[in-house]
Amino acid sequence: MEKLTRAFLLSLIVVLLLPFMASAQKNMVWGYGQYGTNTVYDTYGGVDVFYTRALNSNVDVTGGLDLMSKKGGFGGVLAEVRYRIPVKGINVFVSGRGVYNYYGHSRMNEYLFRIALHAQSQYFDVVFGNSFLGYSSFGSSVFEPITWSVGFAANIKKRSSNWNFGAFIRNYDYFIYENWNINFGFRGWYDISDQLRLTGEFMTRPAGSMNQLAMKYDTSIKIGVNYKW
Amino acid sequence: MKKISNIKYILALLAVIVIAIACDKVEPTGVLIGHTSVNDRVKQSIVYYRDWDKMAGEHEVKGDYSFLVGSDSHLRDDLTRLSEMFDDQIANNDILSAHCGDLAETQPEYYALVEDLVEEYYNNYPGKFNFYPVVGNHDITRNGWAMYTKIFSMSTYVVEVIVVDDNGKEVARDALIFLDSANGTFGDYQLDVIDLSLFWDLNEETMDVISKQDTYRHKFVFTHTNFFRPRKNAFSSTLPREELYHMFRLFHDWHVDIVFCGHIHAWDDREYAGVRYITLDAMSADNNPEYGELVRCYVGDKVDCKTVRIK
Repeated sequence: MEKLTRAFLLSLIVVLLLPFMASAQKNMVWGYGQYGTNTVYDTYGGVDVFYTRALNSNVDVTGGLDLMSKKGGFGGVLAEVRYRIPVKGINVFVSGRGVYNYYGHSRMNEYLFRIALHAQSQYFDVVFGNSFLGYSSFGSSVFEPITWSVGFAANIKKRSSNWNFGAFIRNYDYFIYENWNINFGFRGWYDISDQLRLTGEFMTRPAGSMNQLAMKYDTSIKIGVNYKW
Repeated sequence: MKKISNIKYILALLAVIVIAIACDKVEPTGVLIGHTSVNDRVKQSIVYYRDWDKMAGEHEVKGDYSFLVGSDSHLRDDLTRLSEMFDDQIANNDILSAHCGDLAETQPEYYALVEDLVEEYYNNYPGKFNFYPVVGNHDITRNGWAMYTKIFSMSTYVVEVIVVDDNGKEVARDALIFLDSANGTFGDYQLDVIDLSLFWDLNEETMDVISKQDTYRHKFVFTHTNFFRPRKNAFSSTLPREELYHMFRLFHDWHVDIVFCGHIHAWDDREYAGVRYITLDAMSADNNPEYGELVRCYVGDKVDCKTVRIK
């Protein structure tokens, strides 16, 4: 398992370096500050920053970093490669994503690789994928080969509008990948200029689902900026 | 043409809603919103626990002893599986039966039958019969918590087993810890209370707070929601990731011997971070028509657990 972890981390670092190696057509730096309350951590806050580099008009790579002030510290790194396939006005992205998270309070190492399809129209986003997820702590480890990613989002205006508002429901976030526990909330953006966009998101994560009778587990807000060039 | 296409989607959505509402087992609104909060239930449980006649939650035994564990009986009109479990406990002189939740099947009237059965066994076998359950997700649907508390009062509590020698002197003390995870979370209040309340006591003479955690020889935890997925694609919610990892750390730090749970209707037995996790299959006749599976643990200085089948 240790060899597997090392190989995973090494490949993650290689993918993380890709954005800095490749030439680009359109690049983006984006991120957000997050503040929330959580059953395990009480209140927490922190930042997530990402850098996306377009290798050509259909391929982009992203590297991301998560730093949260959760008990004992929480940090994660993310690397993703996406390939865009235009289908009748809809962009379909095939993506491979690797994530490593460290939960300081639980002394837990978590690593996953996700492969996903993301269909994006002017009004809707639909995501379906699967994560191969492993975690280890105190000398024990578990590998879960099936953790589906399912997501749906809808906007009130066309994606190309300079402002928008919408709702989403999904079972993952950039650094959290659940089994059947869902996240839902609202999101929106406002373009200050052609290059700069303000973003916002309100997200709630109930625990449980279906007849488990969900109750509040985590509530958070994200305020961020995207800068394109 | 476009209108016809839209009607198709609307009809499909309506069909899904109708099926969801028609299903007895699923609370359609429960996908997003719980009807009772684990925090409220734990607060209520703790009040009962504080007022509880402590003798009712203490069992004095000489030497080694055994207890029986079941889960997910999902009882309806037929209570055979539960009465068989009780009979098995009496026949084998187990000091108690523990149940990891989903005692009855989401309808209040079934709890009235459970209440009669439990009362019957307490009356017929005074001092020999003891039954300690926790709530499961099916136990809290359709006003189920009100029915559950009418019979069992609480779902967050500790039962102590005091082992004495021939002279009646205490030689060991074990803790059986019952926790509420029916909503798929232990909730922030329970997470606090576990450390602050269940394992701590007040010395009434000196008014010092004393930790009881290190005084226990063995610790066993009973709760509903499973920690591991016995089937890779199991369609059953588990604890949120951060809470799952937090509980692993907590049980590791507590030096818990075994965590018993159910919910997923599949058997699993594994060790993680020095703690054994036993996920029990459903003992209900609907899920397992041939036999129900229980676990019997023999407790001495070491603990040995075996599966038990009831018809």
